[in-house]
Amino acid sequence: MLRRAAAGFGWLAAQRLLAQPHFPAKAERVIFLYMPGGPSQVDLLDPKPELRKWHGQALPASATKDLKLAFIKPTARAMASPRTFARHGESGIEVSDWLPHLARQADKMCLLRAMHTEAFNHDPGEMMLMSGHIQFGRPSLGSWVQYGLGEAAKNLPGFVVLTSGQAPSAGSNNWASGFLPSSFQGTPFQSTGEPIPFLGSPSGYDRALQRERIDLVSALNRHRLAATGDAEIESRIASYEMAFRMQSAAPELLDFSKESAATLAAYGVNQQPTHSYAVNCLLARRMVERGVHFVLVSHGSWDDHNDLEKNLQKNCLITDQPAAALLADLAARGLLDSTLVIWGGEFGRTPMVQHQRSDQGYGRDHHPNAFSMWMAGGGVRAGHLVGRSDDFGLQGVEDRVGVHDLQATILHLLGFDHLRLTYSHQGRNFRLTDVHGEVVKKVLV
Amino acid sequence: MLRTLFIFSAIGTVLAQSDHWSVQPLQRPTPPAVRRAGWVRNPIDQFILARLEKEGISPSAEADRATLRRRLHLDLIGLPPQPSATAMPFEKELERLLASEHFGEKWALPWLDLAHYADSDGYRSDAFRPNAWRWRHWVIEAINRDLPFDRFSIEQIAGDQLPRPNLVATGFFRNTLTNREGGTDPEQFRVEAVMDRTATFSTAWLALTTNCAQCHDHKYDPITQEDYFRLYAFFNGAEERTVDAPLPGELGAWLEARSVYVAKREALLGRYGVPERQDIWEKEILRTAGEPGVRLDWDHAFDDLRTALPGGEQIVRTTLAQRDRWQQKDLTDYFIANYNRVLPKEESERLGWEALTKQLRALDKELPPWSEALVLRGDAGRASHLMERGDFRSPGRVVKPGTLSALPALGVAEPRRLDLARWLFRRDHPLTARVVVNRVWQQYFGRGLVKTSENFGTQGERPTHPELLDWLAVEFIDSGWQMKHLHRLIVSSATYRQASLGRTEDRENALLARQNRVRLQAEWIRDSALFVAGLLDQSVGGRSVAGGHRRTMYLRKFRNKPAAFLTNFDAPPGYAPVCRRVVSNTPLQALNLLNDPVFQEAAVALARRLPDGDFETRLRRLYGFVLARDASADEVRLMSETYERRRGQLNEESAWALLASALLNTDEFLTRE
Repeated sequence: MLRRAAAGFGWLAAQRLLAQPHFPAKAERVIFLYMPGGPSQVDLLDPKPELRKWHGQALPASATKDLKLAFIKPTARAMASPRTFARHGESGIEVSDWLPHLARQADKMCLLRAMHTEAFNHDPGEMMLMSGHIQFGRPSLGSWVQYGLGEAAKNLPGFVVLTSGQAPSAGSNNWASGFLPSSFQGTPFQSTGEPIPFLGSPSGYDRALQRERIDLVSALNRHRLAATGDAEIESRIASYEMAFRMQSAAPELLDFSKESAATLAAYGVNQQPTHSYAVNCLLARRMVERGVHFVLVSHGSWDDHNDLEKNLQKNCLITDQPAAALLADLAARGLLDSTLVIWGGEFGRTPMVQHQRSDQGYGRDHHPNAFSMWMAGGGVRAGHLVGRSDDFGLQGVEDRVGVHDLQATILHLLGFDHLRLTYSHQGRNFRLTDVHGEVVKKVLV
Repeated sequence: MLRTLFIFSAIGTVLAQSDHWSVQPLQRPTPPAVRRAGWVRNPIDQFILARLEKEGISPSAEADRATLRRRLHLDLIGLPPQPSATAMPFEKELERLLASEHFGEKWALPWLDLAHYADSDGYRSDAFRPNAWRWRHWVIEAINRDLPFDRFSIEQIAGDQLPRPNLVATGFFRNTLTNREGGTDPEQFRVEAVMDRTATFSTAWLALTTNCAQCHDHKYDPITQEDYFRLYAFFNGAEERTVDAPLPGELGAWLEARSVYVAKREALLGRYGVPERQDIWEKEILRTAGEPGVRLDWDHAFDDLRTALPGGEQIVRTTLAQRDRWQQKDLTDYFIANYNRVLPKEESERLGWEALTKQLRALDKELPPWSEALVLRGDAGRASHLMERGDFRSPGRVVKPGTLSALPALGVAEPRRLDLARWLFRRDHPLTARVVVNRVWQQYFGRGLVKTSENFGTQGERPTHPELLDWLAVEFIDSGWQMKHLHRLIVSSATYRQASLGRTEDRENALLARQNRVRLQAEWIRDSALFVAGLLDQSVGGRSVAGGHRRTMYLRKFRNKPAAFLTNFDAPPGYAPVCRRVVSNTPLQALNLLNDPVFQEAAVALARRLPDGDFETRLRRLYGFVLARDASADEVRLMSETYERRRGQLNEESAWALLASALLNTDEFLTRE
């Protein structure tokens, strides 16, 4: 029975509120490799040889007339990618030479080349991708997944956030619970120091003394429970037990001493420049092994208005190897079949040049109309291409996938009908996909 | 598609004449007769008891003295009582608390939630707003002097249009977000702010959600898209400004220092060649505005000016003589910080303006404190259009300011915000008083007579006690909208004074056969811990602070980086109006109370506060401080067992800090019984 009246919204009550899956799930958990800022699909995942002919000139007006861009004009000069693309694996998916490790995992990917979104700035774009709405205040994707799947991890939060590099522009809104109960929000883990706020006991409190303190609190609370009969107090007693377990589970999670040297090397742990991202990718695997439902692994920023050549290469050197190692590792451990992995940012980058400062190199502007993302794992067609953008990469021309469609597909893979996973708030039934979204059948096995 | 524009026709008019309860005329019902007349303390109890008697349920006995005293303190001032030698009668204690300055703090907080107050811009930069506090200060002060609710509201909605203007109060509508991200269209975010004001207005005073009507006719409630944009039009013309708002005592000292400051600042700027360079820069900026796409550096500089400095473009387009003091200072400060956008690196280094910036900042510190306020002012005469699908790029036909068709007509030909504000308080307005008394009731009982206090529309819940709601609303209006009268009335009722314990037959407790147990809001939890430990800095009002032991509401609140403590205990981040906080109960709260240094500090300070004496004397004192009651025999036993087990390893103070910390972690400490 759902109860959230005067006496409060209990943690246990919140768990009881969970939606039931609508059909059998293909994936049981999600790792979202989030690339905020807008990675350049032209240089990484969507080759456009045609641009070479137009390099340095304005693209034909017929192709650019409806473009709305953040900084540059549609008449800006085209910039062909200096990268070389090659076909990889049996699927023959073309990937750029700056993603050599991921290229070797091409047969695991379903690459979406005609993604589009409504927003052309970072905050609204991130909010679209992560909450289905351009403004702040709606629950995030991870919170909806939590709301759907409920608590599975016995010792850890169900929705965890790991960040490296520059944090996403809209910050914690990317993992906020909005109007859903706060127990569904993402818990940011720091990979160094204290992973969760207030995880460590105060100085002078060893494990035994902490246990004793919690036992005393619980004894006093049980005493109160007898007097009041209020089930909220039961929830509180349970939450202290969970807190105590988290205090030991979280440090164990961060302890890599039992990982083999080969695994650490494959991810790029203790190597530069991969170390911090490698730690997060390895943590993501360790978390899903321990029952966490949704891990958001964010690395930014890919917002290369200037000096794209230098900055993009740097981000690729940091993320390519660990992300590829994660896919291979999940597959080797038999976890990939039940884990959904998603890679991408809030939009892509223009095929045209942006040059805003004379003392810096060229870059590209935000591009919401045709960008690339990939998915892999549970229920996803491996080694497959969905969607095509036009010869310049300006617009999607085949199997366009909007952000709401992507969200509907993610929920579908987890066993939820996006139309029916709703939450009533202020007189309206809200859902992740707002009033849009269609499951992308071509992504499914 | 749902977002397609509905045709306006029928929906609005049909529902306008609907029999929905919340738009019915307000009349004072006669309190019903009851059998147990002896239980009744005031008419509130007649309504509650009559219903209970109808259901064959008896009300609960009055809570015991200690519980009642703690309840009263927490509800009125957000702090628990401290042990006192002499017992004060309930009525006397109530009056003392109503007169306490902490009353204004406690009751400002729900209003801050509605206004969605924070000390930062939101969006990407989330820059600090050094002047946001000034409006908060006014709210606390206005509540403390019991400014009648009609005036309290009118000054906030249209204080700039009053014969004796109150600009500071209009800061209510300056808690909107500001986007300084490059490349944004300032018009888009101006429109967002106006939409936010429209939504906040209708939530705060009408308990109606209007947001859905922004894109299409409201699916369920009597609000058409036309209605929405009529309301929107009241806020569309107003301009954002910063004005002088000195607190008493600031003016004299400031005036004295001011002329010296101005002379020093001008000399400094002159020495670094700022005025000449700024003059040229402004001309180039204006040239760029007229010929976009020619010089990319300058395009970007212009774009940044428009977004990073609110009103920046407008200031540049205003002649020097016509700029006010803030505009000129803001622009010069912006120029100094951003001139390097159009200069080669070597040249901007040669200017040495880093040193200049340091000196200017030091100079600013020489000025004595001077308060400024963010306000809303005037009417730019901007035409308002119906926007197709709520998109600012698709303006439809022009809409004139007006109110919702389901509610009484304004009856003014060319209405302004002031007319809108006064309209709320007309005797025939069915909503305002109902909305407000319900919200006060919600604070005292953990839920409103209308549970969905944010939504009095057809999708909200119906009142559990419709006649009581109306009686309270009329009583409130007839008292001259006196808030403290309403508080006194509710708190004096037998209904309020009931025990909260031991009855589990009706979990929702909608009929109020007992009081509800209510978990304290985030702010009161930290405040209470510091207070019982004797650590709380109890000064009232003023600027936001970055740390220390002031009440939590004064801690600088950044929308994108809320303190972990606030998030853990459900304080809203400040993106949208909230009139009913979620109440969660999570393991992160447990970690917070167990391990947060602030609570540990409080536990140690509590241990030090205890008098000398034997175990039981000290323990009873500890219970007095933390829970404002005596310990039971069972509790003494539980505590002494832990104490005996640990006293060998821990010194006396640490052993007592352990016990104090355990008490600060109990459900009872976090709960208003």
